[in-house]
Amino acid sequence: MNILKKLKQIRHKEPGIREFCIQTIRFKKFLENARALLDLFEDGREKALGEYIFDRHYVVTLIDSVIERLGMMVYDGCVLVPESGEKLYTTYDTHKRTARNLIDFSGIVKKAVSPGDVTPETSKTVDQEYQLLSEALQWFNGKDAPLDSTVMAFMKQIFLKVIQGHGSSEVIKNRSLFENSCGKIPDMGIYLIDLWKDQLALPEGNSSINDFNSIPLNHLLMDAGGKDLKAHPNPDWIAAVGEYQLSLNSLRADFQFHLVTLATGDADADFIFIFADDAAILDTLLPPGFHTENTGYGQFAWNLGISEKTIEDSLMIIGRNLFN
Amino acid sequence: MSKQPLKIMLIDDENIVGKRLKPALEKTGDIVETFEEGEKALARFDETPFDIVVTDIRMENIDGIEILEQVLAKSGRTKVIIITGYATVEIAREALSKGAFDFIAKPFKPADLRGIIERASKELRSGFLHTT
Amino acid sequence: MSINPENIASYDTDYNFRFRYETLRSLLNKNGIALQILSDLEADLNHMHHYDKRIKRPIQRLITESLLMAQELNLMTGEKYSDLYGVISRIRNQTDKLFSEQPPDAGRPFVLRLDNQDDPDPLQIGGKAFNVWHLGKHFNNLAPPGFVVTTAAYNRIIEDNNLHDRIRILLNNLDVTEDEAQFKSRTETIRRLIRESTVHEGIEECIKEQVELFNQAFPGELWAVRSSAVCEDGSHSFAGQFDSELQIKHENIVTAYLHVLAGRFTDRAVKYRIHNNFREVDTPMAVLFMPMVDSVAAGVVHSTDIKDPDSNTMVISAVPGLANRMVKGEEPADTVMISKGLSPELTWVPPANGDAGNTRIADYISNEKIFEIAKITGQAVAKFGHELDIEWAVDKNNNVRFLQARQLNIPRIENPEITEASKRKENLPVIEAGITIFPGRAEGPVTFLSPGADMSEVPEGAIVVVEHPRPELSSILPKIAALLVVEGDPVGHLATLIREFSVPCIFRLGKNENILHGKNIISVNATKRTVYAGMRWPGIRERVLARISAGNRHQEKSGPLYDLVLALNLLDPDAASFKAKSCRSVHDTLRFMHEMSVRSMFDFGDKQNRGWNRKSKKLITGLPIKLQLIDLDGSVLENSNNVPPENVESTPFKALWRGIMDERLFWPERWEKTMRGMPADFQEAVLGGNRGPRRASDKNYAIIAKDYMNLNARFAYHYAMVDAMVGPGTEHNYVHLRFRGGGAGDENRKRRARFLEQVLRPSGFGVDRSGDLVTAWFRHYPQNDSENALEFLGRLIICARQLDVALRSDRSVKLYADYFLREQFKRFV
Repeated sequence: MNILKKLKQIRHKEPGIREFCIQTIRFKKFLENARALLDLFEDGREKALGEYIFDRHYVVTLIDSVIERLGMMVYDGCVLVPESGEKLYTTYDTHKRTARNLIDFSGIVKKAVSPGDVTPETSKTVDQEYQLLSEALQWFNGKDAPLDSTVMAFMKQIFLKVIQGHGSSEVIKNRSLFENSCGKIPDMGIYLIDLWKDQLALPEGNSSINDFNSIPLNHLLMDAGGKDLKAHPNPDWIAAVGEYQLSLNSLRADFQFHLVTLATGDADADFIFIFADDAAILDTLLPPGFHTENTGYGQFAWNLGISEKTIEDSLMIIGRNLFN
Repeated sequence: MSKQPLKIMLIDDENIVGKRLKPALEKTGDIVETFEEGEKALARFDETPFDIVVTDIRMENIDGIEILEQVLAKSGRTKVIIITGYATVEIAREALSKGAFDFIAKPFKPADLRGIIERASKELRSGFLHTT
Repeated sequence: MSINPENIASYDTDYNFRFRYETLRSLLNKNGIALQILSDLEADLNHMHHYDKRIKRPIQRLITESLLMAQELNLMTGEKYSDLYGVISRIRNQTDKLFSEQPPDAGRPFVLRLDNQDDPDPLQIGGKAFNVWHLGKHFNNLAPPGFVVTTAAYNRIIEDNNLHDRIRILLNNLDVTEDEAQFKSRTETIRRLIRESTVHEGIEECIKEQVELFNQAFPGELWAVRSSAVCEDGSHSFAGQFDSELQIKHENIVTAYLHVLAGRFTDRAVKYRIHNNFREVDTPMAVLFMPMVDSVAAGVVHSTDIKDPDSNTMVISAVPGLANRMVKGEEPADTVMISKGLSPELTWVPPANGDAGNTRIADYISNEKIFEIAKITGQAVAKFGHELDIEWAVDKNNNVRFLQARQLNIPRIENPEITEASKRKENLPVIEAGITIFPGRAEGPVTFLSPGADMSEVPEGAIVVVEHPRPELSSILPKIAALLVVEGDPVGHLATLIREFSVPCIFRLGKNENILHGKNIISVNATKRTVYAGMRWPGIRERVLARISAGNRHQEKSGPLYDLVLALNLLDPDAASFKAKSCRSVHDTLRFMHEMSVRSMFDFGDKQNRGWNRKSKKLITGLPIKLQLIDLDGSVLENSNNVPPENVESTPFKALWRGIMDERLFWPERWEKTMRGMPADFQEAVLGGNRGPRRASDKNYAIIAKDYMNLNARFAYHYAMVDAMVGPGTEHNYVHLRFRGGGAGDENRKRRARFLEQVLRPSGFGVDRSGDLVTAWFRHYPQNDSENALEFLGRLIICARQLDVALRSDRSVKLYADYFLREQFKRFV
């Protein structure tokens, strides 16, 4: 092996790249935790509809699970954006206290009855368990709850912090990281990296994209002029891939875009998640069916519990719109 | 073929269970009696045996396993169904090995319990002991 | 009421420490999840090949979790273990490669004729067919011609009919169920599913084609359809486990095939596989089709007498006509013994009600034929290389045919005394409880292993009884006969290892273990969760010892996935080889990371001994102890700066404090009044208070959270550090102590260290002592026990303070250790 090739290989193992991959995997975990929280809310909501028979233990466990899962999300957030860590934990602790109060004080008759009063009829028109559940649901994501006091509101905050943390400074850092590690300008302007192999697309002359056995990537680029793999003068993208997953990030300082997807065929785990700092872009980009959330900073969009095929079709549409 | 109404006994010290289950189970025309205390339930069982006994597994004074054992001792044909709380599935398996017909874990819908009761009543009607 | 989270700060946390603590928790949490996945995988691999797509997902998830754990470990330790990333990546890539392997069945034939094979693969045709082929190869015209429907066909049928999952669900927990009725019901359901399966038309065509060919050569033949399972008729004999279908007309042959396949799931067969720990997926079945031999006489020959293997005799049983009823024990047979050697002699064994004598009794077979059978048998034994159990027949043309051959199962010589004894013993088990961690039977001497005992003392082949399933026990697994655990969670490092080492094991014996005291030898049936006094099953002990000497590793359970994922190579955390680069499997990395994360937390407190600039709260107590509290997560229910201990909602702290507050402890401060007027440094020496030659900024502090505590206490000249995580689980709990120093001279300090060791070891702690530094740990115990351990430490720390004055001689070390263990705390003044 000649010296030049050896040097390229050394560069490919650079810790910066490795850290990038791990943080990409960490972000996916972050999304998983968020989804699990949404599932918990949904579970509680379903039980509250009135038909179910459950005990107080169920509700207490639900509250505990929410706190635990929220803690996991907060933790991931701290790993992704360390500078926000302290604030995140402070808020988290508030929620912990709320949860503790809910559990300790729910169901206790709050009004003192003075001796002279006629004892009012036990106002247990609502069963204790249902009462507690409804209070918990309020705290989770009640529409009538005071602003910013719900878990959902906190989740949004965390998301924002994470996304903001991956704003322009991070992007610039990444760009130079990839430029330095990869000798040649990548095809299609997309730096490609295998999440588990720590290597950048080796520009060996032929279609490097096909070297990566990534189903989501293939679908993303299927309609995107993929046959015409010309070297792109200004690489704008980094795609970290696995067989069933894809994490696409913009390298432009003026355009923040993230797309994360998992398409294994297991609807409980699969998802597509997108963020764009320009809401208008998403409107033109997305096929129907996505949940969206607008914030001052940009727009989130996601789709959960969908089939492989739906994900693949969505990716084709998005890719077509994004790269043309 | 008209179905004889079942006599179902419901035992749970949390009154939400009786409150919500009784009307749901009575929809099919079965006769349901609810009890919040195990001893009272067993005393009633002595007066007249029930076809099906649905009991919570963990109660303050007398627990579901004891009820199971006593009911089965009093009447070999009664089917006992155990309601387990969110965290006591292990014990429920033990109940099965002691002769419980089946168990159902909270949270559950009354319709789910009805399904189990229907199965139990099928066995009662064919009046046999399953052999292979 | 709107809460602005930014304004909440009525108390301070040190974020760095908080983050570290949360990192530890996150890591431990992932560890728990990973262990669960490992445990499920083990069950999965019993039913699936490694190239099965359904294995992929959990394995990939497992590897992802461990990668994130590695990141967390490195965050805690300042990138000390970045080697882990490479290790984990490598494992991931290797497992990915495995998943892209083609299943070996691809392209394999469904049907094989036996007479045109040069080198058939027993994995394709099964043991029985393989033996028949072997016979046919060496002896002309001895075995009838036939063909085999291969294991590839079997696998195909299972897959086509989605039987994998359904069978697995039905077999679920069958190895731990005691309910015979349920067992029978489930196996019958499986048999029915198989009998009703659809047979791929390719398979059906192949079978029909073969039958046609034979029909042309031997018109009107009836068929014998026999099972030929992989692993059958080899060193494990499934003899009698499966059904054969005989005298099958060729139009019914496919139905017969399915019936024979269903025979793989008779009660006996399933039990046999479970008992001998065969994976379902490793024992597929091929089916052997042979034309029926129209026999005038038939029977079985054992190439040696199993009742008396040294007598150099062969035993032939015979009946007129077909042998199958005889084989099943439904028909009595005539028996003849033939002495081996150059001039063989035969002796007919008289039936129970017959006359004795050498005269031939059976008139359907001549003595010459008997001799012929014996001779061929002898030759076959030579060819096979071991004793044989052969089904023979003599056909209408007076030719000897061998229909089946298997290895002869010679039982070990029973010790007649033991047999008698076991017959006299009660038949009831002394214990019937618990959960099966790994099935099987074992017998051996009972050994109670208390914590802190020396594991090298455990005799080989012992049945070990312990309170809790500590990972350290892994080192004895290879040499013990069985393991009984009083309390334990079936998911955990040790449980995985127990399965890996195939050690019969029962958890959650409970209080029953008292019954075992006073027993010498016991017999354990881990499958049925019963324990008997004395020896119960002759031959079991020898098999157990054989297993142990074979390294106690079940050969069947290996394979690339086991090696990459499940195998645990890193056993000893104190060994020099315990490092990241030595990790070869995912299980290794989990073990390694768990260990290192806990160690790292322990070290961290040491480094935080300066510069507590942040506000902390003072613990208010009547005892002369000054302690600052740093609250990580709001476990201090008090907004002021002074906190009484009852307002500290930290489980480990509360436990430790209970020990410290123990009324029986003697505080010389109660004598403080009498001390007034004494010189300050004398007070210091006696009272051991917080004054002393130390920087003013040094404080005693405790970092606390709901289930965590890191306490650093510096008394006059010594230092105690307690780091503990105690919650409702068991897997993550730990209590660590580090103690060093002392005011008096070198010798005294060492004595104090020895004192600590002598007190900690018998109380369940692992202990390491180097000079005057003592490190002790109490890991993986349930909440109650962990709290007790902390109370114990509370008392110990207080008592140990004064000791350097008292320990003036080596003898006094033992003296005070005894005092402490006997709770004679007044002595410690």
